[in-house]
Amino acid sequence: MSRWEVWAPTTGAGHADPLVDRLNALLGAGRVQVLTRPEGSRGPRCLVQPDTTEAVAQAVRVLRESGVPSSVVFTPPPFDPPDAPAGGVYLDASRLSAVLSVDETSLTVSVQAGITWGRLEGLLARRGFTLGPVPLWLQARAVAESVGLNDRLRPSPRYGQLVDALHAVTAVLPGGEVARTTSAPRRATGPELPAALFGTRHRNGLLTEVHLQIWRRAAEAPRVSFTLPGWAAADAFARRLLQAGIRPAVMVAGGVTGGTDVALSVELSTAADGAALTTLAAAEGHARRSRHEALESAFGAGDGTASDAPVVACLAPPAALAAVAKRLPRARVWDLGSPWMSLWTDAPVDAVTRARLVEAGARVPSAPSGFEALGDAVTRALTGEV
Amino acid sequence: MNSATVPATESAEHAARVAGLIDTLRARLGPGSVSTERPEREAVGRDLWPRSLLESFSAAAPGPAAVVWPESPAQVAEIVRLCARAGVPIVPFGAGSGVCGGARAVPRGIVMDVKRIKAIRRLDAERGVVEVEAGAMGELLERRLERAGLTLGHFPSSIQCSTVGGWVAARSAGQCSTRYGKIEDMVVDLEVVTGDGEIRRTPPVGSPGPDWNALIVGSEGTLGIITAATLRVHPAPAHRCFRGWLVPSLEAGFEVMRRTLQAGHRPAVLRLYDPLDTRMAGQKYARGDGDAPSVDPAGRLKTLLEGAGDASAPGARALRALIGAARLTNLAIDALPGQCLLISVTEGSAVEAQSTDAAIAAFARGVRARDLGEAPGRHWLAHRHDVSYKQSRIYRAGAFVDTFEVATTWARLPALDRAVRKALGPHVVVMAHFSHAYAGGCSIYFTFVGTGARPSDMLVRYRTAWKAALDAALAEGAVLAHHHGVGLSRATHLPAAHGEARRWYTALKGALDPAGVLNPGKIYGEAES
Repeated sequence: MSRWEVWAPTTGAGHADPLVDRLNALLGAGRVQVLTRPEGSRGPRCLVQPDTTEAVAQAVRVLRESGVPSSVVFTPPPFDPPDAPAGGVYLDASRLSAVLSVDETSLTVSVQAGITWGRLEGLLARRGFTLGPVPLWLQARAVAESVGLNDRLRPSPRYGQLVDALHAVTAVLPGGEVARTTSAPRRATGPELPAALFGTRHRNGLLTEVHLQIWRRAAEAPRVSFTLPGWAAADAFARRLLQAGIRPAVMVAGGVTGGTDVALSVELSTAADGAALTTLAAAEGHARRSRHEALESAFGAGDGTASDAPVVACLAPPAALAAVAKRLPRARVWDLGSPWMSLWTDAPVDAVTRARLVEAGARVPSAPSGFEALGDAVTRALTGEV
Repeated sequence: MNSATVPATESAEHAARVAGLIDTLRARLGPGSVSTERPEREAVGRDLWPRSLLESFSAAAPGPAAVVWPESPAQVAEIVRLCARAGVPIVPFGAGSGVCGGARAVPRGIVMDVKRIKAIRRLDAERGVVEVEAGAMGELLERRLERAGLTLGHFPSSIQCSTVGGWVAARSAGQCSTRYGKIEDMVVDLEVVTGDGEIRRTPPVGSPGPDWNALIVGSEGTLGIITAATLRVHPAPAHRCFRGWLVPSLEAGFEVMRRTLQAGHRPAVLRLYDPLDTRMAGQKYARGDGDAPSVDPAGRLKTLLEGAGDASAPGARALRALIGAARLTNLAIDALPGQCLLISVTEGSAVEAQSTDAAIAAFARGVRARDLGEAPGRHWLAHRHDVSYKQSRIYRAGAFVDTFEVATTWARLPALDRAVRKALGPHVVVMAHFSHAYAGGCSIYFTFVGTGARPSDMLVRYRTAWKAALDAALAEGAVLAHHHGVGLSRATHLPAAHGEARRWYTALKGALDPAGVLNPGKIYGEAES
């Protein structure tokens, strides 16, 4: 990796790069930055920062015509990642960050997809709206980035996944065409085409605008935590809780440091849910905790400093959890009570633990599904490689 | 030209390939699994798309060359491989309840009836999942779940004549979708045979990486043939609350529905009828401002629709006269008192059902709705599947009936409703209900009836009405189908609706069905002349 320096050319500056001149002329001053590198280092030659869908489309068309490879980034990296295209460009989506409109009747917001979840939530909060809970690990992630990764990291039975709140998208396809879908909460007009973007890391197009479901901000939600004797008990309690019709805004379980107990924490969204949960917990004899460790690790203790990154995220049936509970004492789990749980740990995951997870039925990101080759074929068709 | 797009005037070479394929299928699957007999081919030659029925009054539709009944996913895979090699189209067929032509046979193609693949492979009550094969009938699956104290929560009006595979293929919605979601919300993973004849299983929902479930669900057999699905199931509800409300206007009803959903409540049913459909549902006019008018075209229409008799009967003639003058009839109906029936059914635990019922009641009182008690909700539940079986009497009377469901955001809903009514109004008598609501928007389910002097006139009127409705919905920025799918009925308009987004589908089709044999011509069609 090499560290590079940014040099912002003025229009007409003699930097001897026709591509930069062309992009600069198309997108306007300040939208293209030349990257100067140490002698001998190779990497992208410039950073392109379009701020509209049309500008992205123009840039993509120019790059395609020029045969110049690009890599999508959401914040300019100080160092080149290993897959940075030598001689190519960084297509930086971070300036695609405007809130375009709010529909207060339908409770939807139209935004550019380079905006981060955290910033969007902050802007919505000022007007009395919310996306629902945004965990720390998603705060700095852009909407388009989440779609490219198919983020399913929000532990919210009530609000579901952030990427599932998309009602419509605008995206620039690999050929520079602009694809737009119609806004509606559900449809039956063939496959859900924007799903072609999900989890494909922008290979099948770059998301530039989205239409998202939002909600009216409610009063501060109470948090409740319980201590349970292990993962299986936590899962069983969570299942009964959901089956009783309780839908917490957040529900996450975490291993309690220094023991085998599991803390199940929920953030409630209605008074009726609170009453039902109290009754259920009392009937089952679960001890209430005074601390909300699992929630705090997901949403911070209030100072906004707690943050970590997932080492492994996988879907696991309860048996898999039991198999690795001892190996991953600090694991956190959500989607409890559903057929598959999402497991996340910031503890080191060794090869044996990973193998045990798979052996017990977990699906880890690297597990083959039989669709990989088809996915590659879809991308080749969109990029014109076939 | 792709062999799957062979014109109706087929080549001798194609005919020979089809004949060879049928021989091979018989040899590989056994004689009881393949038929070229006319009655059996006709039985699977079309679904319940009304246009197919109207066309059949004038001319017999060319059916498929053969029907095959695979008994396992492995046989499905083998059939797909053989068809791909021979370049012969395959149309997957469940129970044929589709209303969009999605299962209409391709001339000289093969129809694959999957109803013999119907096992419930796994029912895990603890985890809340059922893995069921595509040919399982909806009603039978629900009965099986019921015996285990569970429910899928998926109750399309076609439940007695539709399959799991059909639900998934068409992005079906049930009558309780407001609580349990549409079928795409229930899918955990799918087993699917892609166009290369491979059996694949999609990564379970929530997996990192590409979302193949969302791409296969709704693909109507054009990207793969679904052979099994793992679906979420729920404990059967312990408690239900029923309620009917008479709201002063459609807009007031929208307000109650919107506020309920945006407050996070999930009633099992929240169903609003427009004034005409309110009368069809049996609701009489209210006292006070809504006293019954002296001239009541809605009541007259209801009476005639329910008892018109055969085409030559006086009632049928009167019905045709009323709906033949569609523009006038619609105007007269528009002048009726605007009260609308709103039905709610809430369920779950007693606490949940009652608190949701109370929340709806608060919103309803906020728009000065009148509480009709439990009767409308209970009546709806008891008769909720009746409508599908009432339609044949309308055809017998020399008229036609069809439905058109669209969806949009709450902000656009009133304008969409007006625009589609205006478009349909000159051609057919139109009514609507609103029964699939979300925080962000709602579907509209239009029902329209029309007639013509001769079958060919009826077909012209039918096609004119559909084109007008689709044009209007497109212009209003609506999605052109909420849960019936595309099939052939909307295929003319989907290219315009999807624009460049269609490129995603084209890429998917090329990758998953390289020979182009899977249900060709469906979803995207050519503009109708």
